[in-house]
Parts: sequence; structure tokens; C-alpha cells
Amino acid sequence: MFGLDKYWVFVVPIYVITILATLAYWGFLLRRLRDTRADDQLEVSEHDRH
Amino acid sequence: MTLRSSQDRITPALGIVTLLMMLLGSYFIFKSPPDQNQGDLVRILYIHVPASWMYYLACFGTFVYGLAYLFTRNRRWDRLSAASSEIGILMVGISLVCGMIWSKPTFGQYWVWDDPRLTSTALALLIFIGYFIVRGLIEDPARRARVSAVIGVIGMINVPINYMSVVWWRSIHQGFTVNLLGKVNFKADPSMLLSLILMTLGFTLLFFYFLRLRGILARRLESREDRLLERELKLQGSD
Repeated sequence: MFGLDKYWVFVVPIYVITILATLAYWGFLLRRLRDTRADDQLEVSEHDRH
Repeated sequence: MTLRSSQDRITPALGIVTLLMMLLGSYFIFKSPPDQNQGDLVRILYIHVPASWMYYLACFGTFVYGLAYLFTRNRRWDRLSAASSEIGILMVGISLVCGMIWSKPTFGQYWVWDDPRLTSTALALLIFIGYFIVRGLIEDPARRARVSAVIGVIGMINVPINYMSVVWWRSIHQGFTVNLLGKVNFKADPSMLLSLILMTLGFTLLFFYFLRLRGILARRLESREDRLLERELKLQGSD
């Protein structure tokens, strides 16, 4: 049986890394979506025009 | 009329359900008992295994959407194929890091190159990265989509090899956590299986949530690229 040290050294970092990586990618997507909001509006107006 | 992404209600709802599923899964992860041999290290597998399955799903998505593009030439499938591939990088990255950290106290080493499962997973990461390098190198959208689809389809060959590698070539990586071939075989406390199922569901929802977000983003970037190309062609025509 592994002690508490193994828990903190191996298990906790996994959860921290997974959460941080997921949040970083999510943040990247949301930021890019915010930056391209104008393209979405243009795309719709052009589609309606046609 | 095209539905604008700001009017999209499914994606935020999917995000909330994903978060709830992840929280529920996390609760059961820490509630489930430690493993008889591995102790608390088994809790790493509740992340590592679902992330690995999601990498398979991402490969499958890249393959199916790529194939759909090759047959229909509809750029929507190319966008989804690229989105799936990008999520694949995240999932295979998480899977590799979790696997390496779990390996150290379990096998005594972070990495061994002669293990087929480890090496073929690293190869999958390289395929995903190569997919985006190639996409970045080709300017013509139609050619870029065609070449990417071919890479996505060929890259799928690595998935069955990766899955079966623990049976075909025994090395330090453990066998199947859950044997999906034939009768499902899982010998452990039921709460461990519940944790694994909930986290797998959570990761699956996360995959589709990210796929939707990345798909919307890809559509916007594509429309921007089309407008720039159109403008360039108009300028060339007026010269």
C-alpha cells in the first residue's frame, strides 16, 4: 500500500494537470470564439443576402 | 436563414451537463476504495483510461469525418475532422502524461521505448501534430482538406494496433482495463467500475462539447478565409 506521499506526489498532480490542460484549451476556444464573433455575424448577413 | 452560434442553446447546455458529469465522476473517484495492489495510484486510471478512450474516439472522428469529406467534398466534414484531431492532441497528451506519472511508481520508469502500447500512443500524438503541420503548409482550402482527410484516414490504422498491442506483444503495460472484445471482464469493486463509467461518460461529453465549440470556430475562420480570398481575387481582377 502506498502512503500519503505517493498520493500527493502522483495522484494529485494528475488531476491538476488534467484540469489545467482542459481549462487552458477551453479558454483558448472561448477567446478565439469571442475574437471571431464578427465573422459569425458577417457570415449570416451574407447568407441572408444570397 | 443560418442559425448564428450566439443563438445556439445546445452547446452551453452540453457544457453544463459535461461539468456535472465530471463532478459526479470525481466524487465517486475519491469515494471508491483504494486498489489492493496499487493503493491510491488506481485513481490515476480513472483519468488515464477515459482520456485514452477519447483519443480513440478523436481518431475515429478524424477518420469518419475525413472519409465523409472525401466522398462528399462538403467542407463541413473537413472542419469537424480537424476539430476532432485537435481534441485528439489534448486527449492523447493527457493520456500520455497520466500514463507516465502512473508508470514511475508502478513500473519504476516513466517511459520505455520498447513497449508497443507506449510507443504507438506517442506515434498517435505525432500523427495528430503532423496533421496540423500539413494543414498549415497548404494554402488551397480544397487541397488542404483533401490531404488532411487522407492523413486522418491512414492515421486510423494506428488505433487497432494500439488497442491490441497489449495482447499481441506483451511488455510492461498492463492488459485491458475493461476487455471490450467478447464478454466484458472487470474484476474489481463495483464502485471502481462506476467511477470509470462516469468519468468515461464525462470525457465523452467533453469531447462533443469541444467538438461543437471547435466546429463553430472553424466555420468562422473558414468564412473569414473565404472573404479574404474573394477580396484578393477581386483586386487581381481589377488590376
